[in-house]
Amino acid sequence: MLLECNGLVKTYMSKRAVDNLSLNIERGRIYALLGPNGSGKTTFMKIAAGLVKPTSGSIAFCGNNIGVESKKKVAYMSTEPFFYNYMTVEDVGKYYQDFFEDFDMKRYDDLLEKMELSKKDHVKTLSSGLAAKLKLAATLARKSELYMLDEPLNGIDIIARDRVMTAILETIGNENSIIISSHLVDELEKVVDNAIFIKNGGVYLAGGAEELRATHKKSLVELYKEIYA
Amino acid sequence: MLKLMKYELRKQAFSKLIIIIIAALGEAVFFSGLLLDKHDTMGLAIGLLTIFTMGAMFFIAFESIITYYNDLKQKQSYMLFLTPHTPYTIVGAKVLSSGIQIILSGLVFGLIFAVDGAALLAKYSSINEIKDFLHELLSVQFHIDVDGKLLVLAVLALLISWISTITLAYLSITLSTTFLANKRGKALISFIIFLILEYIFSKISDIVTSMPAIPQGPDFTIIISIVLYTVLTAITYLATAWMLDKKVSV
Repeated sequence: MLLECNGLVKTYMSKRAVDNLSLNIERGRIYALLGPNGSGKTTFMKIAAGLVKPTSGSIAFCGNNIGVESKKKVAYMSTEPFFYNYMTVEDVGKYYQDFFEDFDMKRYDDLLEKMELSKKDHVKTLSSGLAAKLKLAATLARKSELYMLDEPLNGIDIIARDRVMTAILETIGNENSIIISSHLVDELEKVVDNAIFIKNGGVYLAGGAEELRATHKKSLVELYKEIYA
Repeated sequence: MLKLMKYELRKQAFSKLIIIIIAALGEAVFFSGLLLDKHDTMGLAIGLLTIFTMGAMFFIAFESIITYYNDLKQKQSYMLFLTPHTPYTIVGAKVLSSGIQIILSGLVFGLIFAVDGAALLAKYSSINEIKDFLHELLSVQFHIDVDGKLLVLAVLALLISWISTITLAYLSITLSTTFLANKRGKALISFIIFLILEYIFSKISDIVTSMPAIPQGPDFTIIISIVLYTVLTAITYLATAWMLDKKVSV
């Protein structure tokens, strides 16, 4: 098992962002983490990335607590832009190369080319679409065991989405997994192996995509509408 | 840690460039006054450089604190906390890079004033008499024998106390984002804690330096202050990193 969570809780003031969340992530699979804004998807990902400490419950990556070792093997891409403003696209690559042993500069260059980004561009001058592509390029250029992409298609135009999805899918192998959170369920429907529906901070429904479709006789999009409408 | 320090210094490099340019301009004005024998220009340049030095040292400390605050409060914090390093290494890199900046800036400004002073003494021998008079006044009236060693120690104590103020501010900011994160008025509470800790530490410092067992004299007082401020820096660093390790949520 790659990631195991049991009874995970995170509270902010009186609000429970994650509420008794338990789930397992296996190797070699693509997971869709589905739910509306505020359902707890981002907080869960941040806990798994080591950016947020849970209030209670347990979470383990490859059997060990989240920490320095897990950060070496987990690539997290947040939905918000997070690069330093002084950086150029080239600086971002150098930064990742400095800190992540699994970072592949050649793959980064390839991804930049595919995403039509120039190494000379300054991060703060990028449009929201290009900034989103840069985050993806930096994250996917790592050869990580687990990728967690929070709303990777946000800000990316409909033409570029296919290219971005192809780049994401190229990253996955038998030894690594990917968790993608997105509101664009129809974009994920075709590619994911598993779906996790999050509601009020906990897992409402989870399972293999095929199994869910067969059991409920509905597509993931229809299930999404039924759960959250 | 060196890589973390490299990026810490890079984040604050622009302001250092501006400080260097302004200090160089001040020096250019001073030396033009010296060469042209314009006393008003020299006086103005030295006066402005003195004010600028104090302002620059304050700004360097302030910028270190603001950078740390932004690294905890803004999304750019991910750049730091996603890296595979413990909070002890991350905060350690910040403390060391702040310390290096403060000490290097102190040395540079010290050097500037030493060069200016030497140039003045070389050109106007009458200043030597004023220097000797002040020296004697301090020695007779206050029993303070101002020599190079004492001056260096005093500057070092000042710089280390400045570094300890930065780490104390780190501690307060961390407190507001960790143990006080879910409390209302956390920023105000942490600021009050900062002031209280500063006050408590100055009291401890006064008590220790006036203890009968401690040898008296300016040299010893300064050395003890340096030791106390170093201990305070170490304690606040460890407490900050511990809180981040246990509670950080960025």
